[in-house]
This record gives sequence, structure tokens and C-alpha cells, in this order.
Amino acid sequence: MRGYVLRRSLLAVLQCLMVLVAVFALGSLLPGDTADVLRGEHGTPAQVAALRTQLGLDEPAWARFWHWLGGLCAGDLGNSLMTGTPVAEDLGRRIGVTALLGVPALVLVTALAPLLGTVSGLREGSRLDRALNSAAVLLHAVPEFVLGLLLVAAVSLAAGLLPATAVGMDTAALLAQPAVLVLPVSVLTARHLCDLTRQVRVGVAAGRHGTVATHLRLLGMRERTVVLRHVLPGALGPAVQQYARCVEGMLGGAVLVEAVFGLRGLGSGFVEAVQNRDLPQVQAYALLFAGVTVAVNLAADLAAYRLAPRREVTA
Amino acid sequence: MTAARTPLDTPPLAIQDLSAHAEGTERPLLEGIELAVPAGSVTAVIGPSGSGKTTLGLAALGASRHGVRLTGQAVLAGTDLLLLEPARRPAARAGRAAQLPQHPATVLDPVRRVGGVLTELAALGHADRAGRKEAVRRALAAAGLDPDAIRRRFPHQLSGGQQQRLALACALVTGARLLVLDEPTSGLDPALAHALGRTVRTLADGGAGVLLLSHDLPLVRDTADRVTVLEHGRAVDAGPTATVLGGGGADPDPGARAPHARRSTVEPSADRHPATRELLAAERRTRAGQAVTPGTAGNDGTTSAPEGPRGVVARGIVVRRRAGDPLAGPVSMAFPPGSRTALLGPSGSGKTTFARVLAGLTTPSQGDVRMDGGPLPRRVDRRTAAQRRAVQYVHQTSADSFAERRPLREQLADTARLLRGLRAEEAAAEAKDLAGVLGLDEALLLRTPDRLSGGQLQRCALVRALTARPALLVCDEVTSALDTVSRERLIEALPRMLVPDRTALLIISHDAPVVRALAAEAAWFDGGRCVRRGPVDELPPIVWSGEPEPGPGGADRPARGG
Repeated sequence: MRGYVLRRSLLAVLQCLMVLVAVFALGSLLPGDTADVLRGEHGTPAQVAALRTQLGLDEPAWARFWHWLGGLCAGDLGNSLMTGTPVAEDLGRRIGVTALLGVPALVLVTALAPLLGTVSGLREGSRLDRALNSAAVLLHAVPEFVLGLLLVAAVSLAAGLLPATAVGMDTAALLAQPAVLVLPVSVLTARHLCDLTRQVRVGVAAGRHGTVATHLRLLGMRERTVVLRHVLPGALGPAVQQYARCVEGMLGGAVLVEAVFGLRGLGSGFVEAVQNRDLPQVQAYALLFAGVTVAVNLAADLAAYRLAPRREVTA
Repeated sequence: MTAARTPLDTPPLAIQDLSAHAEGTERPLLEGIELAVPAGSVTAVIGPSGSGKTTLGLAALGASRHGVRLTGQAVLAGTDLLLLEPARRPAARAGRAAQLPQHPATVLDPVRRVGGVLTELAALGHADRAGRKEAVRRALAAAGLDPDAIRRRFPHQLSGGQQQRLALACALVTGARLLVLDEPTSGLDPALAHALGRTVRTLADGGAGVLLLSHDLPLVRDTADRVTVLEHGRAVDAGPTATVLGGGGADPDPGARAPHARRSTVEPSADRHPATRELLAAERRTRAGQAVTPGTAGNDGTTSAPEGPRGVVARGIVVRRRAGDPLAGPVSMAFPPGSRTALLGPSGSGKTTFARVLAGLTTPSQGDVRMDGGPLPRRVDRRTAAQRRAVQYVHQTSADSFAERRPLREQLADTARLLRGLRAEEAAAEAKDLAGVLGLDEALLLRTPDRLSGGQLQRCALVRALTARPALLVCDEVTSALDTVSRERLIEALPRMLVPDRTALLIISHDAPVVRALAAEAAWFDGGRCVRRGPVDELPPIVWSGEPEPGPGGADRPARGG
């Protein structure tokens, strides 16, 4: 086990280094640069060149990378080229919104997926199972933004129960008025809950009839213990990887959901940064998302390893 | 203790007029079985594979395979299990009955540590914490495992023999008064089989009732008080062990007898049922070596051809010591076409690991495997179809190597179709012929794997490997799930089924008659090393007795049960 943890962690560190290089290279490869954008179509080539010098864009790539990396180590993500404010400030504002959206959704998925999956898997083929299954397939088939718009139309506009949008609200405002978050969190939860529930359901349905469970019943073990201590842990192993996708999707910013509800979270921030060719911002976002992905996958692999220790033999 | 729950004079198990019918078939799996397992005794049920032993073992616990209907009575400690709703039966069994299944590796939870599962099971018979702890310790010790060494392990970190003993510990830890043992010695080396036999006897002498389902006649003779013979689901013969299986008389050939047959060879009584006589006769023939003339297991091809070694050659194989891979090596061995080699040695000595390296299933840390002089990639997924075809491996537990819902006929044809490029019909015909030689008829092959017995599946696995016409066929304990009749047939047929001048045979077995009949050369493994080699006929008797060899590796053998 220890060997695997070490190997896997080393790989994660390597991945992070590669991401740093790739993120920087990405900025250099985008056609046009900030100077082009700031000056717009009216700038003369001379003006653009002057601006480039002013912004330090005429330095060689390795020098810019070095400066960027040095700043990064000191916690300085640079200043936005558009507004001149520190990138970290903007990120900080948006992380709050994304967390308000992602954390409740994650908590709901974590609690509901094993529960629904187990209930469904234990009553394979029953009316409840079929109902849950159909709902899952339906939700999976409807794109997030369509689901969001449908909910807004039905719950907010027709029934007038919940606010339809959160345009212009920051973290504090959202906290003061949590009703605004109900619909976006629901959409985000529904999206990820389907996949995960179905994965757990398949594992439980198979494990329940497996040789291990059958033998434990022969020895007289109670059904509840068989399911909770043996069938469910066996089913969670394969579901962990899917769960990692789900965490990435929620903490990495939910672009579509944020767009539908006018939330200013990380997802919309990333899109804006790319549209503005605001290189320091783009780099900061890419780094954040990549870091989350690497960390989440590291955690998922370690958890899967513990849940399916036989991998030691095959890996 | 659990024994206090029921009056002591109630037998742990009484079966009356028990029948079992599979959905959609005419012939019953079991018909009108009457059987009692009194406390303090061992009741054995013997019979060829497919005769219904496993079905009976399950029915005794009020359980059945999917689609099987039970009628009659199975009275466990005064409660007729078949009168209860299936959902309430586990509670009625808890702490009263326990089972040891035929393929123990498949019933151990792969994601849980050994100790945790045992403690859970101990809770079925022991309410208090200290009692549970003590029960786990006692059960592991009784099964011949070191409690401190094993508690934190996962099942996959144990050898096949250790897994078997762990499954026994799982059965013992509940404190049950009835133990159902389904082929408990399959895959055990002679020393461990002997130890298990003594454990079973000790348990019975301690007041438990044991229902022993086995084709291992020496084990039955040593441990059982009464024997019932099963044929086509009917009890055709029954009585005290000595009466049914005979006893007394000197062993005509001490060298050839199975190591754990401590009593003597037996003359089948003329007045027994034909099924009993057939089982006994098959046992005698196998032991006396009449089934094969030793000369047929020739190794004329052992001299290597002048242009370089032909066949599969392993050089300097070392597998870094870690849980489950106990091969220290280095081991070098050649398998020229037509050669017949046996790997012998105690459980956990590295025999299976070495064979897995040949097949590319375990990656060695040093050494290489070559085929006709060219290197074989270390991992099977890097090998080409032709290279995969070259080494075929038949596992100890073949039941889980078949897809659940496909008829066996298709699965057996896959090998020749995928690895040799035959058309589906040709491949199926060839597989059918080979299966016929091993006594598997065509109707059987139309079924899905769950409808076949363990012994039948093991023969199917052998057929599947043989249709590849491999350069090396590895048989890892292939006879462990077979009754004496099927085993004899396999011993007789296998040499003929190998392609002459192409296929080398590598046998891993604890079964001395099988090794003597099939192998010409033998290598003895101990403590992860190959410690002795030579012709089978010249092996010292100590190898056959199954006693641990003095010297390195002998000391760390598990304590005997009892």
C-alpha cells in the first residue's frame, strides 16, 4: 500500500509541473495578445508595440515564465491586464460563489447516490427501481441548461416560488438570500446524481447475488450486515472514479449552470478571461482547475485502491 | 455458548424426504433424501461430480441455487428451515450452522480485511466483545492459521491453501453445532489435507455434527462415522464407513498409495451398490497406477535439438517477495515438446507463482521466458495471439473463469476460433470431441456454467486450454474438484489429448497418484525456491508422505490444526 501511495503521489507532482508548463505555453500560443485587445481595432502598430513594452510582453518566453513562476511561489498570480487589479482578488470573490453552489450539491450527491443506488439495487426490477432508473435516464438526457431553463420557467415564472436569477449578487448577498441558490444547486445535483446512482445500483445488484454475499448468508449473517458491510463497499470501489468526475465538475466551476442563473462564479470568470485575452487570469484559472483535477484524482485513486485492494496484484 | 440454545439430544441436522428440482428440467437434482447428522459425528456423502452433493449441502442449510425448488424437511437444531420464509432462514442458521464451500477463494470478501469479517461472524454466536475476540483467535488457530500474522491481511494476500483454511475459520468462528464441508481438501497438499482431516475429527469429537461432502475417499475413511453414496440425486447406499467403504487388509503397494490414506487399501464388498463399487474400484486403479503404464509418460524429447532449445524455457525467474507472490528464486526450467513435469511442494512455496510467470500472469522482477529461442513478453497483455496460444494455463478454481450467461459450447470454441483462426463450427466440433473424451456429453455443453458442477467446469477449463494446442499446458490442481471416476478418466485421457511433438505438460498437484501417472520429471519447491529435481520415480518417499522437509523453509510452515 505504501509503495502505491508514494508512486501515485509522485505522479501527481509530475502532473502539476506539466500543467504549469502547459498553462504558460497555452497563453503564448493564443493568437493575438493583450496589447492587441486593449488597443482594439483603432490602435496603430506603434501604439500597440509601446503597450507591449509597457506590459513586458516583448520579453522572451522563458523570462516571462520565470517571472510568472516566481510570483506564483510568492502567492502572486499577477495583475489582470484588463482591470489592473490583482488576479487573486477576482478569484477570491468568485470562489465563494462557486463554493456556495458546489459544496451543497456535493453534499447532496454524496449522501443520496449510495442511498438511492443501494435501495434501487436491492429491489432490482421493482416499481421503485424502474421509476428511479427512468428518472435518472431522463435527467441524464436533458442538457443542464435546458433543465435549468425548464425549472426557472416552471418554479419561478409560472409558480413564483423561488427567485429565477442571481444576477449581480456576490457571496454575501447570496448568503443573505439562500433561496436564490435552490434552483442552481438542484440542477447541478441532478446532473451528477444520475450517473453515480446508476453505478452504485449496478454494483449492489451484482454483489447481492455474488458468492461472497451468498456465503455470508449461509453462515447466518443478517441481511443488513451483508449489504452494509460487504455488498456496498464492493459497489463503491468502481463508483469512486465517477465520483471524482463529479467533484471536478462542481469545484471546477459549473459554466452552464452559472450562465443560466447569472451567477458570477469560477466558470463564468474563466470564460470572460479567455474572451478578454487576459493572460494572467487565464493562467490562474487553468492552474486552479488543473490543480483541483490532479488533487481529486489522486484522492480518488487512493480511495479506489483501498476499496479494491486486489489491484495490488494487477497494478 | 450456542449449544445451550437447543436440547443436547436434538441432532444438529435431520433431513427427511428432501427433493430438489431445477426449473424446467424433468429429472430431480435430489430425490427423497433421508439423512441425519448426529452431534459428535461426521456423516459423509460421496458420489461422482454432478450427483448432487453440493445441492444437498446447500439444502441442508435451507438454501439452494437460483431456480432450484426444495421440498421435504431440513430440520436444523429442531427448526425445519424449509417451513420458514427464505428471508428468515439466515437468522435461523446464525450460530447453529456453518458451511465451507468448494471454492473458498471466491467467498472471501476481497475488499475487507480478514480480522474484521471474522469478528462480524463471531458476533453471530457471541454477544460480548471478549468472547468474539477469543472466538476469532480460537477459530484461526483451529484452522491452522497464525492469528496475529493474518488478521490485518486481505484475502488476495494469502496463498490458495491459506484461503481454504481462512474459509474454514469463517465457518468455525460462528460457534455452529453443524458444519457442512463441501470438498474441503480440494487443492490442499497432503500435509494440510491430513491436518484438515484431523481438525474435522477434533471438531466432531468436541460435539459438533459434521456433514462432509467429498470425493476424497481416504479423507472420508479417516474421518467419517457414516457414509451415504449419492448417484443421480438419490441415496443409493448408506451405512457405517467401514461397512460401505471396507477396511482392514494390508496395502499391496505402500509406495503408490495416497499419502493421507493412513488406513489401508480396501477391497470393495461384493454386496454394495454398483455406484459404491465403481467409486472404490476407480480409487484402487488410480492408486495402483493401472490407469496408465508409467512408460507412456515418456520424456524422449528432453534432449534439446541441436539448433537450440525448443519449447518454453524459463531462465533465472525471480519474483520480488511481496504478499501473495512467494517466489524468491532464481528458478530456471525448460519444457521441451513432449516433456511432462510436475511441480511439488507445500502450499505457498511458489509453485503457482512460477507457473503464472510462464503464462505472463505474474511479472517477474528478474529473468525471462523464451519460446523456441525467442523471448516471450513478460506480461500476457503484451503477447501476440500466437504467443498467448503457446502457454495455456488451467487454474485451480476454474469456475470463475467462465462467462456467466454464455453456453459452454461457445466458450470452449472461443480458444480455437480466436487463437488458431478456425471457423466457429470447426472449433465447436473440436471442443466437443475433446470434451467427450473427458466424459462431458454434448447436452451438458449447451448449458450455462452455473448449471454445471465444480468438477465438470474444471474439465471444461481443461478442454478450453487443450483446443489451443499449446506448446506448454499448465495444469494447476486440475484434479482437485474431481471425483475418483472422473479423475481416473482424466489421468488416462490427458496424455492422449496432448499434441505429440508439440505440447509440454506442467502439472501442479498435491495428488501423488496424479503426479506419478502424468509426470516424468518433478521439481520440489520449498520456501520460494526449487530445492530438488529429478525423475518422478526416483523422488524420495519423504516427498510423497507430505511431511515438511527438514531444513530451510520447513520451519515456517503453518502449525497443524487440531
